[in-house]
Amino acid sequence: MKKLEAIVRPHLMDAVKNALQEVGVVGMTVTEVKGFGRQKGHTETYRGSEYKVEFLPKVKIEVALPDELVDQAVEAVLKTAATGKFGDGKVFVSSLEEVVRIRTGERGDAAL
Amino acid sequence: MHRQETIDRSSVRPDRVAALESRQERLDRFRRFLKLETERLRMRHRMGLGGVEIAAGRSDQVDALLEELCLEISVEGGEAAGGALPPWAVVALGGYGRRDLAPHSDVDLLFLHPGGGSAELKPFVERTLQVLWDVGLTVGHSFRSPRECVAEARRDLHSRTALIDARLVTGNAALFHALSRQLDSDLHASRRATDGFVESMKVELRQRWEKFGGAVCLLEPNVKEGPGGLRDLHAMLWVGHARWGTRGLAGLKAEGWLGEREFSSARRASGFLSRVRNEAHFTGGRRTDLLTLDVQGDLARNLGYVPRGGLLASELLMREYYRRASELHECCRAFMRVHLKAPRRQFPGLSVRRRPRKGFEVRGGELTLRSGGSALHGGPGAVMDAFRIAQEEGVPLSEDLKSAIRVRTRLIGRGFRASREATGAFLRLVQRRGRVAPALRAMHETGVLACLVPEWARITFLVQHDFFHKYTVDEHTLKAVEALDEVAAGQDPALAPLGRLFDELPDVLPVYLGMLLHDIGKGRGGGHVVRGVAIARRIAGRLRLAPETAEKILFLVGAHLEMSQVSQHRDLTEASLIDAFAARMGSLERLNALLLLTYADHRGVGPGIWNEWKATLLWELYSRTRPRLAGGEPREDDGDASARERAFGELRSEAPGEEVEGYLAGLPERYFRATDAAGVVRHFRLLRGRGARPFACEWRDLGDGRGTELALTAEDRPGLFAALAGTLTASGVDILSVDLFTRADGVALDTFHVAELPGHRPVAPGRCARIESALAEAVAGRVDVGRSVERWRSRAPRRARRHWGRTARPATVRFDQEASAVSTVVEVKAPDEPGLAYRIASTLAELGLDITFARVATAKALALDVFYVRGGDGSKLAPPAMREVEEALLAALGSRPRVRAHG
Repeated sequence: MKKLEAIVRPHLMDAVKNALQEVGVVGMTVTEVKGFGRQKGHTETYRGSEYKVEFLPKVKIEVALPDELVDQAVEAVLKTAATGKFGDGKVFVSSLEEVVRIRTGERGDAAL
Repeated sequence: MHRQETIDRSSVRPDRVAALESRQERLDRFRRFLKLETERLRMRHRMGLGGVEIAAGRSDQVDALLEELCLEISVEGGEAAGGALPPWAVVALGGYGRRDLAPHSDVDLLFLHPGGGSAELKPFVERTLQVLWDVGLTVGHSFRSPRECVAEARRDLHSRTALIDARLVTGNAALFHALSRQLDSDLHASRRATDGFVESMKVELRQRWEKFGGAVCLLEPNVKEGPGGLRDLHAMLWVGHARWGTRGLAGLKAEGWLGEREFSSARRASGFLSRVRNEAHFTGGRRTDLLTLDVQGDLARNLGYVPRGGLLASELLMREYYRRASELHECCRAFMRVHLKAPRRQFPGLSVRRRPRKGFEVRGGELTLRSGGSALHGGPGAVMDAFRIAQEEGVPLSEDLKSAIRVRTRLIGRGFRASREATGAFLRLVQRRGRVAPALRAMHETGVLACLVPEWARITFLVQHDFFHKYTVDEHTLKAVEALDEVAAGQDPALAPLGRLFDELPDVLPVYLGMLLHDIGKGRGGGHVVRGVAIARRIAGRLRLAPETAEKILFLVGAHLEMSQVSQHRDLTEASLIDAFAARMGSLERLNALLLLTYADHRGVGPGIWNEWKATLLWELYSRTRPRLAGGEPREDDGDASARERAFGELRSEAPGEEVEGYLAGLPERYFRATDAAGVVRHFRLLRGRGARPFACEWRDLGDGRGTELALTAEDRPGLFAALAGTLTASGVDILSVDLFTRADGVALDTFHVAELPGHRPVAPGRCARIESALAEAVAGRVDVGRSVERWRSRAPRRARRHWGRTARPATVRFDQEASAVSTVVEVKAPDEPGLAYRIASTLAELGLDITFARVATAKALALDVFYVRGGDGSKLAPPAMREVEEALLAALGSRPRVRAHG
């Protein structure tokens, strides 16, 4: 099992979600997050007073997957979340030791 | 309910065969009894028996069970101990003591012992409790002597309130009387203990209201603990008992502490709330006092509500709930205010009566009718006077005044709405920035708002079925207006950027009325925005609003969701999207108003809904859209690459890569935000062309009569900006705006947007050479710029003033220590006039301050100048220095020109 975390632009969240569902992902967790990458945020001026935008708003999508779905899922995120500009985000994939469905106590792939 | 019947039924006890009966058999017997009785009660409840009666019936059931159980166990206990037990009594506390027990509520019990010999009673208490637990009752218990009870009541507020309602269930009556006597003599008769109790009651009340949502109109209210819940009633009863020894609502009324109207509304409310609570317990099969959205439907159905007039059964139930709970809450608050006046303190100004106005006066921090006042008899105008005066004085209306208005409003009715007097007064109330919400809330509470705007009644107490909202539509709307007030008041530095939008609005009426009406279309099926616009149009007509004002309001109602939707769901880097959004906004005023409304709308939904994440996206959309609407030179599209990258691409062909890179690296980040790629390229060429000369500049006609751009570079030094601005002014050139940057290596790069003073035309090309040499002289420090400016001023006394402000507003100075990491930001707002920039800059220079960045801008005859400054030692300004700067600036701007040495 793998865990996929995708940091994407807020406005592309729906597109990414739909693409993941098409691949066969059944559940996900979505969080409003802020952060920066190589672009290091930027500074805005508004009537002369500058306000710093050190952390840019993004959406984090977390998905737990069986191993065989990972490649397709990553592909789905890449296809939908890329604009080619700075700040498109990242996908992190890590291995997942255990999943337990709280209601039934099922474990492993059965709990995904 | 027939108490005796219940008791009798419990006595259809299997003949006292305790000895032969096993423990399990006894348990089954009591379980059966409780189950049967509960079912009987449930049927009576469903048949419509009142909430108070059901709660009393439940209490009687438990009484009967306890009587029988304690009798049996005490007899066994006595036998086992080989004699009679010491005297004991079982006492009901709290709600159970008042015979007010909801079906699954906790049963609070006190096992009373005489003091000595409590050990002998312990097994009896334990066995009794065991059975009670096993039959499924939730029991809260204590085991104390009368003396211990008094000590505990002194220590703990909740123990004291529980003991107020103590009632003997079974056991030794003399022992119980001993408890009552000791409570009365040691506690209730003590003046000091009573004062302390009442004070902590007040604190507790406020904390409880706060803890349970702070408003009656929560979508998921707590029928017991929330504001307007049954606890509000209990608090009144407890205070009544502590202060005057009264018992029950009837006692308060009989002694004259509660008026006839308050009494009946409190009684009605408590009956209704109890009934809803009983239903919640029966439906849930457990103690549930929280009326969550998912159970409201079942409750409504079981209580016999049917959908009507486009509203769901649950909406009708909750509407009644909010009405009753509001009545009870108001009643409780008024009761506490009237009867719990803080002990008089010597606060001059608080107790002093202020000058009476139009039959009203401010007394004790509230607006009241003057004694024997007939102020309200003058028709709608007089009613509206009350709100106006309260708003002007910044005080709330007293409860008495509110009730008087409620009665008047009902009498005046339709005529009220139609009267020009009332609508005119209403519109004036809604224009007073920073003070609108209290007025609207008072009008809401007195029914005047629903009278003036009948559509308001539709959204009053209206539940919203969604995941985010916490309040009913009316409460949400009022909370949102409060959020607007908070921005307008400008007290919170975190809201300062929004406050500046407020300052830019020419008229605050549209944003306030738009806020009030933004959800007016709710409660009529889907599409509340479209419906809302139609309704708002009707309301605007009735209020006789000017067509332009009405259009602004309708725009806000129609667009009130758009800004947050676009900011969260669209690609903000796409120029075409920003173009479309700017076109939809149409004007800067609308954009400003919509951002304010969007912010306040979020704040009104509930705590935590407005957050940094949403704020960043909204400001991103705002700052990208603003330049399209603000006039001036439209910024080039960033396109895919930033100005920095595009300039780099262009310059690489004309200079070595490292030189270009070094040049770009030395410029502050905000430079690239304010400058397009073409500008970056021009500046590079200018700087490169300057070579070793101390100064270079470039003139550029902006076309279309928009004036001239003067880009200029020189080695930075203290007072440089003042010297440049002064020279331009002395040359008869008006400065419209400036962007001033200092590179890391100390080279200043300034862009002036200028025009000829007379006629406001672009600077004539023929004059450029002369001005340029004057600038070079000034940069070199070879002329006294201050004197040149004075000479110019004396020659051209005020004749060239560009516009006269409508009213000459005094200059203001504001500091911001947060906006920049290394500099203090000084914001100066002043009526615009030629030479203003010079005057500010020279004042700052005289104080030895270093200007690292400046932006001078003009809007509507008002200049907003922003300077990033550092002290001589390169650090931010300390508070004393800020005061000095403020005084010097105000002196320089407030008084007429005075001769000052140039720094």
